[in-house]
Amino acid sequence: MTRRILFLVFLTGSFISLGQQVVNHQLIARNLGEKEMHDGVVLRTFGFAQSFSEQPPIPGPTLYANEGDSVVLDLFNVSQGAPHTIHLHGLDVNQENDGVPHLSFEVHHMEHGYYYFVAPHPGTYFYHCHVVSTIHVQAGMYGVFIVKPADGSNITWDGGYPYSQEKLYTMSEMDPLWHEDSVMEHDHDTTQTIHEVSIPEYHPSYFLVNGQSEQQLLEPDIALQTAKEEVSFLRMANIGYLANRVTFPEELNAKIISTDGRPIVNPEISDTLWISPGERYGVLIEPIVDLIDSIEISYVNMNTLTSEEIQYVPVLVSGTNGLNEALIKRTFELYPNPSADQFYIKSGGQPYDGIKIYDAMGRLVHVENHNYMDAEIMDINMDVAKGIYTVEILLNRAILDTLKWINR
Amino acid sequence: MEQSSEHPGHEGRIKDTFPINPMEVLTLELVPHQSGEYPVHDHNLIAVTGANIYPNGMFLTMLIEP
Repeated sequence: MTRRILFLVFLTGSFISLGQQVVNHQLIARNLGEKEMHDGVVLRTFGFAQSFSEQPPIPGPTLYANEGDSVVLDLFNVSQGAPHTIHLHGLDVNQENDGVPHLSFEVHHMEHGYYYFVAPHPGTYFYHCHVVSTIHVQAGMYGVFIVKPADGSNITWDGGYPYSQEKLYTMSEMDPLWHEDSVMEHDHDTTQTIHEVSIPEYHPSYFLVNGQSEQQLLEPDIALQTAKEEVSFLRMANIGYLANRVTFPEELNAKIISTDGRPIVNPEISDTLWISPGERYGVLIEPIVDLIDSIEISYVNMNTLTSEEIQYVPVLVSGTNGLNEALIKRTFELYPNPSADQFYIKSGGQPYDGIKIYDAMGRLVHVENHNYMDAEIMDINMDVAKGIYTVEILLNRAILDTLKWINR
Repeated sequence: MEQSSEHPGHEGRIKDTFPINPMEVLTLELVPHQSGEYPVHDHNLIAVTGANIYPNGMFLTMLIEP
């Protein structure tokens, strides 16, 4: 430990004089995290937190440094369980700081471990635990490390593309069976380099973007909100066990410019992007028209090459309106109410693409689907029993509004 | 990535992680800049556990001598 502290003093002294900084981050490894999924189910997780008062977020906190900075990561294991490490995926660190337990070191309960490296090429990288990584990564011990150019500016790399905003989308999945104690409480005999584990077949039921799915993706911090001719830089990263096929709306003019922390010499203009587990891509977005649409992310089983699920990241391109306002504005009206087997929906100009009607027992009794319906008034007809109904107004499968209707 | 039978357009890219599809041939050039022993493995992490043992299966290490 003394040697490491001396090393830190050395780094501080030698690099600050060159104008670069020492960047310190602390990550607290936890084994008893809880994460509430979009349907209310709570899964046990492992993860990296930055304070003792919070659940470990999944993904872990996004860490930043500028090119050339000296980075010190302090891993504090307060897990009451297995040892943990930080593997620095793609950051070209030396063996001792690489976080592969039997090749460097592992950090036990109530111990600190320190990792040192100089931030390399600007780009998007992962950090994740490399102790029984099959289980610990699925459990939630992963996050993204972003290296910005030396001056920290919004440019992809020195001499690269300037942009006005950047968004990070990290894809992963969760299989509830892998979050049972019987899987997570695996053998961790630290005298051995191999471990006996028991894992079920992988059948995830949650398909995540930044740890969120389904209606959670309507939150404003997820959505891509931009304006015509404004340049956005998307960092797309897959740390799951399925591949992603990403489809961008054509109007976004997506250009694939970088991968794994390096520029792509011949950038590819493409509305589809394949991201395998562990890969990262940089995508430049420069829309030419106003639109409301979504980036479609398909989660593909690599053995069968079939899509297991699709998630939708909302996109709003507008010169004037914010996405927040557009999505949250509850402008829908239902009338007359009460009525008999028929009513009208007045949209107030808000686009939507579907309506679902449920009876008082929660049974779906009527569905209407449209392609981006923006008619001001829509006539709904059906033949259902008398009673109280719930009417959901949908866009990209997410609920924009919920109204009550009495059929008499 | 020097040569790819499936994605010739990806040749020349510098990568730390990439897919290799069934029947695909990839040729890579590696120029080590530091010595040490580093893991080389499938990042579909299901494939690095096998027969209830971790690490196992598609996991090996590469030794770069000083």
